[in-house]
Amino acid sequence: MTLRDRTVAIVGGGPAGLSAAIALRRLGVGAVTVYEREQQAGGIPRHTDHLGFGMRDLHRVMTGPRYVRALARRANEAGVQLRVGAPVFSLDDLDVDAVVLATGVRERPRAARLVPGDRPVGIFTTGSLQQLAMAGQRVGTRAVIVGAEHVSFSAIFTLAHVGCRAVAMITPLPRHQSYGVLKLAAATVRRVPVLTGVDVAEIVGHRRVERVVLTNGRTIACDTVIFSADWIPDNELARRSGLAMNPEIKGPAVDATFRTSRNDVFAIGNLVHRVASADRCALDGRAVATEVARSIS
Amino acid sequence: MSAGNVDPGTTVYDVAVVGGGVVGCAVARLLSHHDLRVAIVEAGPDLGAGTSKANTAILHTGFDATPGSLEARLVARGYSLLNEYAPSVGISIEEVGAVLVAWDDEQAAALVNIAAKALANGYEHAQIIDRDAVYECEPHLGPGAMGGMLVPGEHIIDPWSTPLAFAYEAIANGAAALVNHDVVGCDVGHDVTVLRTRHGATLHARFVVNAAGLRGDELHRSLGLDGFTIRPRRGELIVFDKLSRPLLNRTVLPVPTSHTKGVLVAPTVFGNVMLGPTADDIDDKTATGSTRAGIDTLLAKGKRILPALMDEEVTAVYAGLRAATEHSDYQVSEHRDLRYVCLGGIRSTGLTASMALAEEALNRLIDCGLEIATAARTTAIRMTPLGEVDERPYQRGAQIVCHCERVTVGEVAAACVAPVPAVDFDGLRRRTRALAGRCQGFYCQAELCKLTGWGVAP
Repeated sequence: MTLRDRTVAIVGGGPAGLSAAIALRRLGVGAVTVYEREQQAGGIPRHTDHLGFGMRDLHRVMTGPRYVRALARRANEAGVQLRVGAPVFSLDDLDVDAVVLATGVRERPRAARLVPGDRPVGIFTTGSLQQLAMAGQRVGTRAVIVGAEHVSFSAIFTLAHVGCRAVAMITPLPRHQSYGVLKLAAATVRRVPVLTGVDVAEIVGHRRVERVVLTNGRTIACDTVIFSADWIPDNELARRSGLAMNPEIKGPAVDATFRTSRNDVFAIGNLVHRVASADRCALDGRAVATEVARSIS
Repeated sequence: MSAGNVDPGTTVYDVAVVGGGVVGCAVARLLSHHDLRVAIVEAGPDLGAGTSKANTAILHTGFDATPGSLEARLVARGYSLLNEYAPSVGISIEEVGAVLVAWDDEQAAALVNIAAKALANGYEHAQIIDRDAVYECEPHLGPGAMGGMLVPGEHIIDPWSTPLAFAYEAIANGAAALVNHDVVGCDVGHDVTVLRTRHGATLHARFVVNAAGLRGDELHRSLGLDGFTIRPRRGELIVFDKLSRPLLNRTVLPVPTSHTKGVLVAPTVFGNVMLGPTADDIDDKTATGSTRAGIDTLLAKGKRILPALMDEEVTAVYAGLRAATEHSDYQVSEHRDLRYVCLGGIRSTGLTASMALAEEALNRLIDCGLEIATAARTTAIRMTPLGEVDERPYQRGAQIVCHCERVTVGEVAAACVAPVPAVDFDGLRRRTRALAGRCQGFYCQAELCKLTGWGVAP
């Protein structure tokens, strides 16, 4: 048996999964199928409509949507079978020589952060905000952003794009966690105060968000709250498959070759890193391809 | 706004059921089997969206009710009725059973009395078990259990589909469901009672049933009656990720007190694990927010009951208000002169007792002079089951839009044209589970806006 007779399934068609698939085909693996549950491949960058993608892997600077369109095109050219609208519920459904899990991460929503108060309309994650913005949906007029990581600062610009003003950014951490240049942009161009060392104590509002009360007692009037960052891997398939988990990351535990506790199952991208940039996840995909090819040849 | 077959402006209804929660919908369903013009009159924009939407989703055997009370009788009867009805229309229900766990000597000693109470309530399957048997049943329980009692008949049920199924069936039989009709007063005439709503509309009905839940006392007083005051009892609940479901085989109950059944840990038919409720008597009938103190209390109790649960992600936190009164029993009464039946003070057991309360209401309406045709009619309805153990549309390959809860595009479309259609994302969530999962819309909120045509802006 040669690599030409081998089959590999990749679960998740974001930067990591697509890059792994392209690399596996280029190494000569006969059948490489990417299972993407959404109707379009690309993962989170599909909705991240700003520059900053593709630098480390494609050596270009692109927007998120352009970047993943380029990856999908390369996958097609490489002969990858790209199946969209194709969720995988159990690894038992895949009859292949090896599986690569690349199911990515999501942001913890409000409930998972145990923020008390009412449950009105107007509470989003950055991920849903970005998708709403791309779909041309307005979200509100005055937003409080919870979190001060890289993605939280990008939320300021997404909000501005849909006519919503970020009135404050708050983080329980003593200082923000993003690059200085972005903070400068946020603070100067958009004039968004960053409140550190404080958290949301309560969300108030009956039908619609009316205000947030902070742990220092201060109240901020707003109709929108964005819960940003606080990433958690989308680990359902990994856990239901009985893979050993990394308790800190909450993704599957992997060795230096991205192999999980099951010999024929590998895991890459933010499922195992949680907060790596898209192009770093893509480089994972290239690296795992070599390991997978070695293990099935 | 109205759903159903009758124009509210010109019709004189035979019966107006005020309150579109699980009890009101059950009453309307039963009345609709007879040749009667029936209206569900609901203050809010949707049915089942008040107290009925935030409960522990358990179908109780009634083993721990106060023997001889009306509640005990109606819970036992309602248990049998709903147990039979739910599977027949596609409401997800599972007989997971319960184990009542004693955590100290005093509670262990109380088990004998609780077993005797179960017998007095006609429930014969309760069985006291020792410490080892408790851990054999529930290996993930925290240390310190002293013993327990098995209640194999306790079920878990889909609490959102239940009132909707009742209402859909009532509508199929010709009833009207009037939402955004907030009844603020009643004028009892010679043959007809005029119900006035907050927005100036009037409804005419020969008979009135009070199923107004939290505001049942206000409606009761507006008719010149008295006898009970609703003091909301807030219950906060935490719903854990579906990945926690293997930690639990059955519902784990505490030893109850007279005030509350206490904090339980229960599986849900959707495959989650639920922790709660708290029991805080409050004054504000709209205070359905969760609190830091409530969440912290639940987490402390949960850590003791099922420590491994604390490592799992939380999917939802919510609070509901039970319609508690100064009395320990339901406040059910009929007033022939007013052609009025009151179903008041239906607290946490309302879901279980709903179908029996409907029978009770019908009998008392007859006592008040309502005539009913002898031949009953029913139109069969079918809900799309939402439970983990039922077959769902995604398993037949239908396109999924909400991946956490595996809700299909077709289910979302159906909810928007249901007999009582979803009018917002909250209603959609209760009809389909879309947005109810672990990501809370991270992946699908925008797509759902596209599918429904609804926005999220104020």
